[in-house]
Amino acid sequence: MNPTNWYLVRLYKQNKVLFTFVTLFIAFQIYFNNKHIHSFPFFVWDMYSHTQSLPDTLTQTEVFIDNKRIDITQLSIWEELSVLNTYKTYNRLHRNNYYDPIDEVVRNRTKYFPEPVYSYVSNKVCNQRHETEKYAKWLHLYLEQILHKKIKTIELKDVQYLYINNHFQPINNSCSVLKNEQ
Amino acid sequence: MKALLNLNIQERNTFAKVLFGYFLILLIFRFQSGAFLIFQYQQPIKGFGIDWIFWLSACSGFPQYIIQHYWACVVVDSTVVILSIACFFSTKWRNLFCIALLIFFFLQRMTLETYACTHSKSTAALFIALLPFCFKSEKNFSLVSEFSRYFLLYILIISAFYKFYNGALLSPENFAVTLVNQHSDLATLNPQHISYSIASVLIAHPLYAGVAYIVLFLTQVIFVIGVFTRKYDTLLFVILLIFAVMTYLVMRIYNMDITVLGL
Repeated sequence: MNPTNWYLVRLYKQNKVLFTFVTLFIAFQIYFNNKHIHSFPFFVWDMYSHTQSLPDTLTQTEVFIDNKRIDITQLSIWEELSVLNTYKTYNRLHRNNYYDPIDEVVRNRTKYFPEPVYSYVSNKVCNQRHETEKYAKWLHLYLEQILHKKIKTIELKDVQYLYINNHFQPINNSCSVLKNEQ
Repeated sequence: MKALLNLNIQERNTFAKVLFGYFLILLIFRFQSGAFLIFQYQQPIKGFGIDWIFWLSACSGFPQYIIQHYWACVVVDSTVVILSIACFFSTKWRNLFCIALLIFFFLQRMTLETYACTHSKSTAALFIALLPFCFKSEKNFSLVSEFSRYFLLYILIISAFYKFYNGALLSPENFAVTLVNQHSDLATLNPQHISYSIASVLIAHPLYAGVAYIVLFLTQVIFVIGVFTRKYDTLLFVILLIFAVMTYLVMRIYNMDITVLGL
């Protein structure tokens, strides 16, 4: 417990440049932790620490290839996340009339800068309509690539389930969000 | 792993071979899982989120450029692999190869995670684990290695702290609910999956789930020992491996990136 053996003290004595970098790293880590903002590499490592509740209904995305539901969990974790997360972003933009809600964050973060800065950042960070409209075609090709087969139709549906007695039961009100034919 | 193999930090070359060997295995796994740029080529939807570093990347324009050009995807992907192999074999130029590897790995991960709309925390662990090899002098290598070790301890201890601070630890039935939400896809599509088979026992018996969550908490909080002594590093590394395997089996979470910091 001798303070001269402490890492930061030794670091300060042996290499002041490294000490500055490590101190800055610690300072940024504390800052982002307090703000509860995830910013690479200063993440808030609070995985599965919040209390959760069971929703009455749960919406699940299901992928249909040539009108047959596929088991998306058979894909690798990365491919499954890739399909579901890009689809969720597409769905959010589609429902929002192709307006990216991140634009408001851009507006807020650039409020002290001249207008051209906002325009530049918004153009780089936010999804534009013409980009979003290409998504269905890309997903079609992506699914063909990872499933190693030619596909005629892809369809993604949001299906609602009720959770009763430790089981999920589908409610018959699924809605088709994305469909692409080739 | 240094402790497990009884390696002195000065036995840098052996340590480098272990770390870069493991890193190459992770790259093979990533390629096989489709987590390379060539598989994401031309994906049109961006997911920069609100992460400042992702925004800086977006403003520089490199993720948008790379994803639109197949040759750029191939160059970045293959350079990451070639530099990892170079770091494995070369002793003389390892620090320069490692700096280049960090740059290209950064380009790859920023672009990939942006266009998969998936931001992975564990990638940070890989960067911090590779950092010591960017230094040629033994003294700086040792100091940065020690920083990597403290970073791993921090991840696990703060994660345990939040489990207590955010109240999940004090709510015994919470983990069963977490598992229901976590595995809703497996429950409806693939209930035979090993993760769901284990989770369904815990879901059906919330008391067992509560105990499992406390064990998970203890597995993380025990890393406090590492702040005060290196004597138990072997034991902590074994616990880290068990933690990574169990989180995959029960939660279907991929934690092998974090394990690299324990090497």
